[in-house]
Parts: sequence; C-alpha cells; structure tokens
Amino acid sequence: MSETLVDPRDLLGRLARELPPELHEQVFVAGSLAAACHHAARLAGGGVRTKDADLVVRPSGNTRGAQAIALRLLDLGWRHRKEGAFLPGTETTPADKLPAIRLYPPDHKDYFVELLIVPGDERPGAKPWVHVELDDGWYGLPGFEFLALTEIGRVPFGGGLFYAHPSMMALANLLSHRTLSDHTMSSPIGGRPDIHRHAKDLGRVLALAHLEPRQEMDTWEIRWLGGLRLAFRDRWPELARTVGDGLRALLTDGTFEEAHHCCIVGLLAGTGVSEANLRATAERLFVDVIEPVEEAGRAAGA
Amino acid sequence: MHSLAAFVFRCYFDFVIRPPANDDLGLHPDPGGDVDLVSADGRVLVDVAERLLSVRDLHAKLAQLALVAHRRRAEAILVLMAPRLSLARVREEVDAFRAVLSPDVAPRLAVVTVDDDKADRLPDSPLTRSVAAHFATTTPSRPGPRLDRSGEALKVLVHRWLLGKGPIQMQQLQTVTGLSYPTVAAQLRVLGDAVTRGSNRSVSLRVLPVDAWTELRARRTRQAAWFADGSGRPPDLEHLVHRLRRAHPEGVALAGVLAARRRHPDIDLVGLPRLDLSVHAHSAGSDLSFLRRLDPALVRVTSAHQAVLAVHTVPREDALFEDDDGLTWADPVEALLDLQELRLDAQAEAFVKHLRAGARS
Repeated sequence: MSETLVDPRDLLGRLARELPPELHEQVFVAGSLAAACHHAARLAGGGVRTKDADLVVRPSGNTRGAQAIALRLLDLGWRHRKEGAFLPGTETTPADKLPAIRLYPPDHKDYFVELLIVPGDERPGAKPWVHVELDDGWYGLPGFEFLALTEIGRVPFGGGLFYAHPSMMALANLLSHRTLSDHTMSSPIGGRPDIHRHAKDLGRVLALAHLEPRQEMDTWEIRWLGGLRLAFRDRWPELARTVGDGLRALLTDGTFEEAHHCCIVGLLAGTGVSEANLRATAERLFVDVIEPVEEAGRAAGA
Repeated sequence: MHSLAAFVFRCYFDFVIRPPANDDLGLHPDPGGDVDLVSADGRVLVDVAERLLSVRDLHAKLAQLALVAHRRRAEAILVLMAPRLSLARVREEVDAFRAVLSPDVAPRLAVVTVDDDKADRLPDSPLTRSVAAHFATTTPSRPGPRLDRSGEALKVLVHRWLLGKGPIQMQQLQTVTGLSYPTVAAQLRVLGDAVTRGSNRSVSLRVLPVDAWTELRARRTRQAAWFADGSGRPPDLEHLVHRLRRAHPEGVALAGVLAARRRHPDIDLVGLPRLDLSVHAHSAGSDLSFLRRLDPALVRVTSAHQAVLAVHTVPREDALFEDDDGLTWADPVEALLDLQELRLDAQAEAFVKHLRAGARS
C-alpha cells in the first residue's frame, strides 16, 4: 500500500464514476473512507492513506443482491484482491474461514471495494458471515450487529452514491463495544501489532467526535435516538441506556493509549492531538450526546 | 395621592434602601436633611462623622446633633468613623459635653465609634449596639473563599459615570455593593478628588481616577479564571454563546467584547478574541458547575494568553446585570475591564467615549 496521501473526496469520486450507476442505489460507503470524506476539509494535510472502500449492501439481509453486485462487477472486469493465502472456499467451509469479497476496479489498484451486508434481523449477538457463491468458489459477507444503523441518515455524495453519516458510524462502534474484550486485530495498525479491536473502534468514535464541529454534534442525540428506534424497535431502550458503557470503561483502561495510537495514525494523523485532548473530546461527547441518550433510554425503559 | 406616594416610598424603602442584615431600625437617608440617617419610625437620628481630627470638631458635631435631637424629640447617635482621636479621649469629651446638656436631651444623645481595630458605644445599650452593628455589617457571609470587594464602590461609581446616572446616596451605594459604611467610606477616601460629594450624602465620580482604576484592573486580572479548549480543536466561541443562551445559568452574564458591542455596535472589533463571562458571586452559577454544560472540554489554564474563556466574579450585592434577547449581560464596567484585560486599549477608550457621549446627550 502506498504511503501517498490521497484526497478522500477524489477517491470517492472515482468510485462513484467507476461503479455502475445502476448499483449506486443498492450500496453505500461506510468506514474510514466515508469518515474521511465527510471531514476532508478538517484532515491535517487534507488526505488519508486508506485505499479500501467498505461497500454496504442494502437493504438488510440482501444476500442475493450482494451476490449479484459482486458478479456484475466481476463481469465488468473488476478483479479479486488476493492477499496471502487467498483461496475461495467451498459450500462447507466455515464462514469465518472464507475470504471476504474485495475487488479492484478493472484498470488500476488505486483502491478496492469490500462488500458487507446489513443483518436481516435485530436479534442481539455477533452475526456470522454469510456464504456467497461466485464464479470461482465461495466467499464470505461480513455483517455486523449494528451495521443497520449506518444505513440511516446516509449522506449524498454525488452521482447517486451515498455514504454513512459519521454520527451513525460512531453509534454502531459504541454499541459494538459496550464491554471491553481481549480480541486483538489480526493486522498491525500503524506498525503496531496486537491492537485491541475495542481500542481501534472506540478510538474511531473519538476521532469522529474530535473532527465534528460542535454545532453538528448537537444533532447527534436526535440522530442516535431516531436511528435506534428505527433499527431496533424492541431493543432500543436497553441499547440507549448502555451506549456509553464501553467508552466509559476505555477511559480508565490501559488500552486507551492504543485508541490514541489508532487515532494519530488514522483520521487524526498530523493533528498533534494528545491523549489529554482525546479525553476532553470524550467528555464533550458524554455531556453533549451520550448522557442525554442514556437518559432517554432509562426513561423509556422505566 | 399622598398615601400612594407613601406606599411607593415604603416599598422603595423596604426593598431598596433598607439594609438587608442585622438592622431592625430600618435606617435610611433623612428626608429632612438634618442628619445622615433616620430610623423607619423617625425616633432615631444618626449622623456620621468620618475621620474626625480634633476635639473642636467633635464638640461641633455633638452640639449640632443635640440641637436636632431637641427639635425633633428623637434619640440621636453620632457615629464616629475612624476618628483620629483615641477612644479614651472621645469618651472623656463626650462625658464632659453631656454634663452641660439639659437633662431632657443628655440621655438621648449617644456616640458610637467604629474603626477597623476599635469600637466603642457611649452608652452601651441595645440601641447603640444596633447602630454599631449596622455600620459594621457587611453582606451576610456566603460559603466559599472570601471575596475581594475592595473595588466595588469604584465600579458602581464608574457604572453611573459611564451611563450618566448621576450621584448615588451613600446608603444606596452600601446596598448595591453589600459593603458596610466604613468600608464604602474607606474606598471613597482612596478616590480623593475624583469623587464629588453632594449635600444629601450622595457621591458621584467627577473623572475616572486613573491610579485606583489601574490598581483595580490588576487585582481583577489576578482573580480571573481562565479556560482553554482541552480538546485541542480551534474554539467555537459563537457556539458557546449559543449554549449559554440555551442553558441560561442563573447569575451568569455575557461580558467582554460581546457586552461592549451590545452597547456600542460600531466598536472597531472584528470577531471574538475570547469569551468573557461575569458570574455573580451570590448566584447558583458561582460554583462554575454550569461550565460543564457549556463545554465539558474546557480546562482551567494559568495564562490569559491561552484562554478562550475568562470568568470574572462580581462580588457585590447587586451585580447590575441586565436581561435582554434571551441572554444576561454584564454591566459596561465589567465589559470595559475585559477589553482592557484583552489589551484592546483603543477599543476600550472608544467604548468609554461612546458611553460618555450618550450619557451627556
């Protein structure tokens, strides 16, 4: 992967042009590219090093749609991104051993897309990858428990392509890590191995909050509560009530330093943001958004 | 009509003039002008003599007061504020003077001496104790650190000078500042010729006393609380104002550039270098807990240069804040002091000129 900084808006613009227009309605961009694009003007140096675009297939549970999108792109000449011991699986390969669907555009390797899927139900718990058969074998579609939230309040980018709003990505990450775990990342982040997943994802929450202007942050409470009610009609009070638990725990946990590391090699690279700065941002997020949402959850659950 | 006027005066007396603490006499300025103060029922007259220098002056004051006590058939008390005479000498002279008075007047003449380190009552009675308490009383103490009110009389006078409000009576100045008579008197003494004294115990500012003002500025700056944005992000001061409007914490007023601009919209200032707040010491906001709602990322800093927000405490009894447009505003004196603390001297000067021009017109 090149170390050259790229303007995330340029990258997303290329994706919008190179992705067949008829597919735009069926996907939206999430993850670091979406976050960087939303805050492009506030990034130090104006660019990012990310080259992967998380494409979330909608609506929820649309496995066949994801399969059709992958096949359509392969028909158009998009190529699998083959890393390490890349090998498609079989129908009986355990889902977590299947390769993800990662595709380069036909003519270059300036970025690649990775397909994800919104789970088809709101039941709690980790969502197993979904088997998808393509021309050369079986692949896996990751679908995270709270990914449905990122579909709500999507931001139009242009050319009919949308990306997830940072507030909803932050909410999904918070809910995914309401308790801290020992789960570590399989790949190094910024040259450091064994980063805890919760530190990476909760660090992303802090990075998003840090980049968000405060008047915009004022809309997060409404976005979160609206999104929770829409995506988790039965569970929302409990989710709202516990939304800050993981971040609260992180602030007093030794892995906070890892979260800071992930920020300064990621979205906040070059900003000089310190751990103390991040803690202040966390405090702001608690007072402005998390505490009111927790209170709403308590009130609804009472 | 007369009874209505009496009622209005009574309300004014009860809620504005009447000192709030330890004073069941209801002392207020004497409408007749014979003495400085008179009790609510008119039976007690109080005259005040500051820094009495000689026995001759003491005799003159006593003679004048004895005459008024005789004419108005009232108790009369001379209050000696920080006299240059010793307590023993005062006691000796008062006893001698009483001896030559008629038996009708002598028992009704009393003297109370009030000073920082000495006090005396001649005779010691419930009445003289009450009067002594009145002059020694400051505003009831509140929890928290002791407040520095040493510049409050000056600030109130400057407030009136800037806005063309005219003289203020000593009693009202005590009420607004929450300071005792001796403290206010001492503060006024420091101002020297800058203060004009009226015949009815009123005072006003003739000019801005430069030395006292400079000292006040320095003292106030030392007592400020400064805050920076702990998140490391550029501050969004306009949004802080928005938050302040939404939270509207009790006893917290916008000051500084915004307060100056409110009174002088054409002031030569672009943008907002810092947000200044004035907090009334006697309000719920005085513990600064409202700042967490305003912005929990604010962190206290020791240097004004780093600050995006400055908080100054207004320790007097009446903060002279104004409510307007959903916000509470500090008085122009706090705004002026903020401009000078920000080293916006040209703007501060223009602000004063603008207000004074309005005051004269």
